[in-house]
Amino acid sequence: MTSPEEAAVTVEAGPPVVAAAEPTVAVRHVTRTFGEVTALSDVSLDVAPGSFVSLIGPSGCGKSTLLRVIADLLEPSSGEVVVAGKTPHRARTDRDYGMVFQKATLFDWRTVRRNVELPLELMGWDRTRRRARADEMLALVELTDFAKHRPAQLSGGMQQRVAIARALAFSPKLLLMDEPFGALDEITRERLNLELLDIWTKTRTTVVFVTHSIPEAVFLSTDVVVMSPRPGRVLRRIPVDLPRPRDTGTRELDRYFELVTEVRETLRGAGLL
Amino acid sequence: MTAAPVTGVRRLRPPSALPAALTALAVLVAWEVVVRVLAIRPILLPAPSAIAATFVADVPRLVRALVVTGRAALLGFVLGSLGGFAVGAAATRWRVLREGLIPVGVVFGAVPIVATAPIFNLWLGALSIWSNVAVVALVVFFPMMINTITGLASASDSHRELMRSYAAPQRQVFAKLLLPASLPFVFGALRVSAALSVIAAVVSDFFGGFRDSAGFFIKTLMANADYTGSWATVVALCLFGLLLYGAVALAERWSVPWKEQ
Repeated sequence: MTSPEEAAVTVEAGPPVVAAAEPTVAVRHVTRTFGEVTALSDVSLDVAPGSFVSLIGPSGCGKSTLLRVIADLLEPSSGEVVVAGKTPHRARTDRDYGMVFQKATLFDWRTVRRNVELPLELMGWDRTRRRARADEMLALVELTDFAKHRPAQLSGGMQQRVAIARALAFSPKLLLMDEPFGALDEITRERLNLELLDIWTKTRTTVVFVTHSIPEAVFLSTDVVVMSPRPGRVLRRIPVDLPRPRDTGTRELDRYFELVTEVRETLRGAGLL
Repeated sequence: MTAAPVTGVRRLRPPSALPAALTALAVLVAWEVVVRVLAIRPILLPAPSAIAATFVADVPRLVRALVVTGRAALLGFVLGSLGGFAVGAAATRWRVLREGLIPVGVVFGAVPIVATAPIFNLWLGALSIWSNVAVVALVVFFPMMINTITGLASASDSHRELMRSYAAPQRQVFAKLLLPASLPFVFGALRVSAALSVIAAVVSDFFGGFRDSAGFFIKTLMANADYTGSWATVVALCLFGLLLYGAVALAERWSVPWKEQ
């Protein structure tokens, strides 16, 4: 198995000609309806390899629906989606993405380590490799000491870190996160934001991140995609030109405030604030 | 790293044995005193000491009774539970089966199945152990079937979505998610069935002419005015029922360690 670093090299070195320019996720004129309700209306979006794209907007703007369409957990009513150069279905069966939900969705009956091993088990890795990989991932999220604990014994923030370790265990090209820190308190959330950036830097995984927190979106992302509801559509895409590496000091930069204000003004301009 | 609430909740087992033992002792003492002071006749209620004396003297007979009745209870318990689980699992897999079986299961669950004991005696022979086994199995079958269906359906939507994101085939979803999630429900049925199966086996004895069975002893000893002998048989059945329940509880603790009792 390739380590995260090797995987990153593979992505960059990849098939030589077009690979560098080809987006990891390409959404083209996607519409999705649920009965009478139009959850997504003519949405287009490119996610470049190695980028960190946040989808932000009020409830009902279709950001979670869009994520599920990319993940092939929902089918678009019309339009086209390409993930890692394939159909979303093919990308899912090829295990090209890992997913983190708002709830940690750990299995109560498994220890922390065995939870991280779950996808590897499904992919038929043998026990020794699985275990080594799980320990590596637990080190990455700083939970080595909790390998033998059960999920119920961990705090919400720790559970979510286990979920991240599990999603990244098989080095997917893409990490899809659906409001992963939405249920956590503000302090835990800020700390996990820092940790997530650290993990992203180390693994160079492409991330699509759904959130309803403006500061979180600005702090984490390379691009913030602002969406509006009824019907769900993309209002604007705002590139985030904050310097990296980002740390707690980033949140005190003038540019950070300007960008937060820009996102907020975009939402207000659409009558959403 | 957080100073996270890592609580060792599972270790906090209440010292429940002592209060229970004291309560039982108090009841026995009160019973003994009431019987002696009021000079109650043994036909109505023998003293615990008398029952205990008969119990000790009758051990070989009681063991024979438990072998006969206990074997029927145990066989019926195992076969009925396995059948209930298998049909419940099949009903989870095929919707048509589920929609047909759940209402039928609920109706059958309301039938006093022990009352069918004479019918089974007629079908399978009054002197065959299989008529007793059949009654027990039928009593145990429906709670297990319903709990299996409920348990296999208990995994949350987000857990199912997670497995879908891994493109896990149906077989793996069943083995890694649905089955473990169902275990607390399955054990719930087993605990109820442990008690039910002993009751069903004895009631079935009453209708059958099976010699040496516990039900047979209770019936004939009463008729022969050996009241303490009859009570001693009840106590033996009680102990057997507790043993079965204890075995189930132990198996549950071992295979469902993540659920607190």
